[in-house]
Amino acid sequence: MAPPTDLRAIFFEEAEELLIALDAGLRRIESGDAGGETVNAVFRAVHSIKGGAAAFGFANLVGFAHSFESLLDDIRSGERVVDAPLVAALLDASYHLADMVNAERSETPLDPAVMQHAHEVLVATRDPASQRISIEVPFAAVPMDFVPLPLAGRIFDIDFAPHADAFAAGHEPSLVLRDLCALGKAQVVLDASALTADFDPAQCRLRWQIRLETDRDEADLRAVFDFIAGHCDLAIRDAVQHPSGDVSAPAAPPPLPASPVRAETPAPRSDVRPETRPEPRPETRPEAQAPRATIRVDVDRVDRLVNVAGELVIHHAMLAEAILRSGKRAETDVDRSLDQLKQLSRQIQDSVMAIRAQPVKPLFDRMHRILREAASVAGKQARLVIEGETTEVDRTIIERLADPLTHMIRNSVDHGIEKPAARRAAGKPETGVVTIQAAHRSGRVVITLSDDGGGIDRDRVRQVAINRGLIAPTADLSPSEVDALLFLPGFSTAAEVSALSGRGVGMDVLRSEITALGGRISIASQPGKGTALTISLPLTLAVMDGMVVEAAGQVLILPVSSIVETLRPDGSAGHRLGLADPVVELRGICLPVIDVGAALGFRDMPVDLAGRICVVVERDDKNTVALLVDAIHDQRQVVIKSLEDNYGHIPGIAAATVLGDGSVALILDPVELLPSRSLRKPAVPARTPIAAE
Amino acid sequence: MKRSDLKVVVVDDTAVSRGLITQVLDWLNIEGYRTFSDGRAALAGLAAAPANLVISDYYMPEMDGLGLLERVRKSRGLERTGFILVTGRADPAMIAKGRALGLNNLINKPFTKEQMRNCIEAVVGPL
Amino acid sequence: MTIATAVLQPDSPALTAATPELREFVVFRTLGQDFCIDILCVREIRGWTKPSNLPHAPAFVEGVINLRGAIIPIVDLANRLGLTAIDEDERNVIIVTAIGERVTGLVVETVTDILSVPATDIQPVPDLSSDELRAVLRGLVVHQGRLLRLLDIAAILGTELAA
Repeated sequence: MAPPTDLRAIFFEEAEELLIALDAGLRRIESGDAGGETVNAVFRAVHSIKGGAAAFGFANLVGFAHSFESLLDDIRSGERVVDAPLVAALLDASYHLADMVNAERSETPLDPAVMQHAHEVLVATRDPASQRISIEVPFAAVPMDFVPLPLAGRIFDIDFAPHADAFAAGHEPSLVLRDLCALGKAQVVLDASALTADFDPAQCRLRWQIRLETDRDEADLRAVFDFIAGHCDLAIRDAVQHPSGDVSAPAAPPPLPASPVRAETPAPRSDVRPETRPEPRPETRPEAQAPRATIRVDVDRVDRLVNVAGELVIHHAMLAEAILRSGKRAETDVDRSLDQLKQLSRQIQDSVMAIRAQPVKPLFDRMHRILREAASVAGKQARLVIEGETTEVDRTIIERLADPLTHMIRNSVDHGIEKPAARRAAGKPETGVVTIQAAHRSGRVVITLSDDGGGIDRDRVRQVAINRGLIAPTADLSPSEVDALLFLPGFSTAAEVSALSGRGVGMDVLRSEITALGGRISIASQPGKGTALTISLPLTLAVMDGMVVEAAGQVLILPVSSIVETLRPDGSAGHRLGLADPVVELRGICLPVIDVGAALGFRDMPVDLAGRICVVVERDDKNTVALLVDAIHDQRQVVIKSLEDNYGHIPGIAAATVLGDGSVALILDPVELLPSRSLRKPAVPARTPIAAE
Repeated sequence: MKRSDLKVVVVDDTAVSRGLITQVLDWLNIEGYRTFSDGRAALAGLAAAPANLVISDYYMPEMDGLGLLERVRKSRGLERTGFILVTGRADPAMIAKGRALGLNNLINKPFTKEQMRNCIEAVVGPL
Repeated sequence: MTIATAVLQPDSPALTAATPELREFVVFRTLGQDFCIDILCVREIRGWTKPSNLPHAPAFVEGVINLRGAIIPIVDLANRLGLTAIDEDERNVIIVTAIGERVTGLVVETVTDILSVPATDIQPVPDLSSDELRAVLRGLVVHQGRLLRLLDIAAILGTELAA
């Protein structure tokens, strides 16, 4: 029997969840919890993967899972005591199992030698003495005589009251009743109490109460009333009480001791989708046991909803602007409705984003394996500590974080954590600790990856940078400026790319990966104590709060999250050092001023500060800088649109948005906009004409 | 037993296994089936509307297939429900326990649709 | 102004067997010269919208516009071909093209025709054309006394516009 492809997709989806459960269980075992339920959960995960794999004919996967399962069975039965080497073997086996699942999913076979080796290692881990011969015990079927079951359906009470004009509209209630009765066993009671002696036969004054026992659901019942829907009052509810004797009902058994649902609760139809869970009626819902109802939704559907919600925000802005132009804004009703609409569209936006938000835990959990493998290749010992794993981030961001995080972990192991001997000599425990931490901070997600390794060797970094011609030998750099040199393109070269963190990925690539997500990365290091990489990311890539500003005739958006304050420099606050580089004084501190219009090339000459506005923005490293704009128009929620889909990345520009008048405004990236002495990006080369290509 | 009268409850914690079983039921034109993802929910469903036959996985969290069988046999009105256990790993102890509890039949994973049909027919008679 | 986009059905086998292959082109005019491009790269033709400026962009990129929620760059075709830039005029039109996933608007003076031409009627490019044009020309079509330059849109827009 060849299972259809949608079952195959479900298998891989479930296998992924099972692999996560397996990993979590193994790590509980690693931390000393080898209790029955933990081992059982691990066993079940492997067993379920095996069961599914067998149905799809993934022979290698079944064979390996079977051996894995046997080893776990030894532990379950108490024949095998869990020790550190066994846990290591189990973890390795789980990683290999994950690789095999991925290989089947992507239809790219694994190297047979690798598979054979992994299988041999696993089999060798088993104590030969425990390798019992399995005995096939035949099971003789026990036939049963069956009495046909009574119609096992739901019972509905229906109130049906056609409006007085139903006849005039061409409806015939008796036909509706006939269709309804065809759905099951019905008991119909006529209510003629509204009939008076002098009734008008052209008007309908009758109403009916129907008790219907049926295996259809409520939607099927409502469909019967579709045509007459506008000309009747209709109420359909489940008959909660036991039906009276005239409608037969299944002889319900008495309530089971631990059954969470009262016996008379109608059975929900759960055959529509395999995922459907029976949902107890609210009044009988037990507090603790009931699993929270969840549904699986295709990601594309959610993404479509995100896009539509985004369009809603844009169209609200358009409507508001149109009303403003028409001069009707003053009418309080319009104003109030518009405000309400704004609230609602924001709520929709937030709700939609909440659907896509996911905890970072699964992503972080994957890093255990990365760390383990990196440490084993580098001949080092390290463990991963995870904090804040329940922090939720938009799934689009989570997906795109896997690669950068992997690079960061490998970097930490390769360049941060010292070899065991060196750590011993430095008075540290032999096993290094890499900590990965997530938290929400002022509307952004901050992820910090720190190690307790040797820290950055600044003298060497400086020397490398001089050798590569990235800085002048005489350059006077602060320690943090030296650390930042690591992010420069061309700093790391093949010569020092190690087997692992290398693969051509330097810190500059890491930085551009993070920048592409609208994030920033910074590095901090303490010699001998360790290094910390901090990335800060937007919560979502869909919307943000923006300040609408104008510079050199262009409307631009500044992310509100980066704005500290705004000020109008008067004659005394603004200063110019030399020819360029103006500074502005804010409570005794001089802030560098960046003329936004000039920085983007919209005007050539720097302009006078007076009469303009400085927006003070903060960098992640707590440096502040003043952005000079001509005017501030508004503050509003803006929908983030990619420029890179159809164009490309522009330095200093994070993305674009659509304004209320339908025109496009660019969203500034205040950090990239900052020219900094040592990290200034190379100027954009002028494009060569076609003829030269 | 007429197919149209046969009411089946399928219990398995994974959607794939539920799908593999219901696929066979669809092939057999057995329309009256319901699926549940754990034993507790299945018991509640059976209490609300009994079935002729339960096809249940063995390895499930909290309540395994034999645990479910035990509860079914002890529930008034459900004692005479047919019960088929689906397992990928049948050991003698499991079989002995199943027999003691009045298990009707057992099928190993993976199964073909014909194997599953034979397994069902061995309990309910020719379809 | 929006002109409905003509949709070209894939060549039916019956047609190609008996008759020479027909190709359809969108014909337009910019800076007084006539051009045509394969209709399969054209998504739609729309009226002119003032683009928002892009910083650090090459001169032929006029900026970006909002096309039903997508941000697309607008390229002055004349300028891209090494001719002078066309005048900003509300009567200009934008030909929205798609090369792979990438959508770009070409601003031209006017779209004049949608033309079916047998593939055999497409003439090779003579040597006398300027270098800028030769790199992106795929042939010449003479139609009703007019010389239409057949442009290779992928060659014009295939590389990333942003530096």
